[in-house]
Amino acid sequence: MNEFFSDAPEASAAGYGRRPASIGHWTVALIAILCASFLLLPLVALLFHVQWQGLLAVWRQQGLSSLGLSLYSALVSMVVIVIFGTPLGWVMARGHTRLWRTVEYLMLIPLLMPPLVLGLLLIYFYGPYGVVGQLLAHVHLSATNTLLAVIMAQIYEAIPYYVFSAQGAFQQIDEIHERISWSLGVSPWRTFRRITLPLAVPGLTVGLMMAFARAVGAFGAVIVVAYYPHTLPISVWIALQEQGLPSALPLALLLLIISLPLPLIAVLWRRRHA
Amino acid sequence: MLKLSVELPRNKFVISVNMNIPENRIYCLYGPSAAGKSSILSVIAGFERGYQAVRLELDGDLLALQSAATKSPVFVPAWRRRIAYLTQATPLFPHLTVEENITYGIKAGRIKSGASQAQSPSGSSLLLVKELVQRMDLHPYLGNRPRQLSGGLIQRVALARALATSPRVLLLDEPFSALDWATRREMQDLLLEFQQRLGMSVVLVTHQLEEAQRMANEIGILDEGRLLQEGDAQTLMDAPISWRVARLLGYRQCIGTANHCFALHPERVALSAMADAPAATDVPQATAAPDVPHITAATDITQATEMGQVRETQGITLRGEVLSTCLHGGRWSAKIHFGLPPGWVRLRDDTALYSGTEGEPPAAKDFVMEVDLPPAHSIAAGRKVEGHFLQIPEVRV
Repeated sequence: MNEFFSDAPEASAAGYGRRPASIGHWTVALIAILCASFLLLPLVALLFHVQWQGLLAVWRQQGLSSLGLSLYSALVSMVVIVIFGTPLGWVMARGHTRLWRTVEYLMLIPLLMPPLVLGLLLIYFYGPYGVVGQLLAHVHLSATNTLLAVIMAQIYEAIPYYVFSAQGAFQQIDEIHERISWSLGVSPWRTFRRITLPLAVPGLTVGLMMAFARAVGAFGAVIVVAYYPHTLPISVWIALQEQGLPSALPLALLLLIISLPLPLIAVLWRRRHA
Repeated sequence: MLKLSVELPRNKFVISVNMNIPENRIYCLYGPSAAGKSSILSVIAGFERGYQAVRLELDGDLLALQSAATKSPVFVPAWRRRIAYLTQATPLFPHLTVEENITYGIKAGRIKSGASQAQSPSGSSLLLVKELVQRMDLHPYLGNRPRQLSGGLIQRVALARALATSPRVLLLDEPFSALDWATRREMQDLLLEFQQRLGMSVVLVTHQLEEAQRMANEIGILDEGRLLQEGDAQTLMDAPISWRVARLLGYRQCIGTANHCFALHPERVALSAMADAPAATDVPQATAAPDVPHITAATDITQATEMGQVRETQGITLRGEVLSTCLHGGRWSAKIHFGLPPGWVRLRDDTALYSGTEGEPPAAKDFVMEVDLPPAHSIAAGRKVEGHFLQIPEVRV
């Protein structure tokens, strides 16, 4: 899990240099290329099939309001995720007791849970008949078909990605740095602010960008708890249902343009500075 | 005064030591790897809390207290102890420049001693930083990031960073063992200089006997969590209390009965009562090679210097005054003050020195160097040659 999120530079391949090309070697290369094409070709196809003339019109008609909603709710989710996810990532990295090991394993559940199931659980827990839902009703809030519901569903889908990235980022920092800082008379809180946090920022940024992509693209949990108001993924789904592929594709492209670049840039930047 | 007594369970044994280190002294924990040396430092620094019982006192302040009998345990956290810590591979903070690293402790640390509390970091501590930077030749690197520095340089910055906070105690965990010979010497001298100037206690952990002898006022020999013997370098070499200690000090053979034992070092003989000496029958008489001379009398010094003259074959022999001597393993090394003759001088290790500028008539120049004395001198000389003149045939012009 952490190997994936920690984004560590790959082990040097220097030891394997210049092997004679054999049939086995070519087979492996071929399979690898097939797999990569399998993953990337649909995206290329999308770029070819989108009708570029009507693109702006479709975006303006159907995309703008849901785009605004998606971005706004994702931003709010990001703030919540950073505030609550960073401490959790930190204790998962630094807490050596059995409690925190257990928490680490438990965190895999929301990460791996199918979004649709997650949505059902949210309805059950926060919905009008749920435990927390009834409490919310007392303060005239509702966690179904509201902005609050959208944000909650996005947080649930995205936060495990950030938490595990944060754990990896903190784990990569040798604890000796913190000890040395203490021995120089600097308290743990100041040590965290001046040493640990700055060193973890690249890893945290990558994690946050991944979480952002998940939140903007959140669909399974969102559609269960909040069909209204339409976020961008739900608008794509509705367009596909009601008008078919030609009007769904431009919106899908818009979703890609919003959610892809930031994580890509973050990962590339991290690689460059690793 | 640093007082420590601790019971700390490890995998294979329990570390159980009782140490008293007077102020302004360098105490060295010497012993093989995995003897528990680093764990003791961790306890003093406040990183290790897995002990069964502890009592740690520094200049009258109780820093840690815990035992079965104590009702109110005491634990002062690491950042309030003013105990700095340096290891073999102390990393610098990678996101800070060299200068920011050095001033980190005095700028970020709020906890200061009573005297300096009123002053901002711009006071005496910044002056100390300036001095450290100048003395350690760190000026050219102040703006660099740690990844641009060599290992020796990183260690120098780490030492400066630790000293800049003027700690009450400096803990050193094999701080120089990853460095090359010359750099190590340089660092040792810098450390000695600042230890004396700042007046702090140093606890140095090492598994190199030469380093322990060179640096320490007192050496404690630690094996499997126990302090086997404490004393200054001379006492330990002259009278190891047990064969176990003698072996750790480099003695290879033990000849004699259980009560008295000649321990043979490649370059030394010690006569000592060692309770755990192997039975005499274990050592075949033939290997008790009698070519190890057993002389330690002061009168032999003249003999030795004459030997030096006799052995001289080429060039001229330098005559210098012995400023100080220091055990170096089983041998002695001496700091010798020479009046260098004018002209180019080539030393045995191919260092070239030139006294006087080119073109001018060369003048004699004062010069102090450290020389490992050859065995013949070593045995005779010892600490007794200080102030005497000694002639070193290995230094040639």
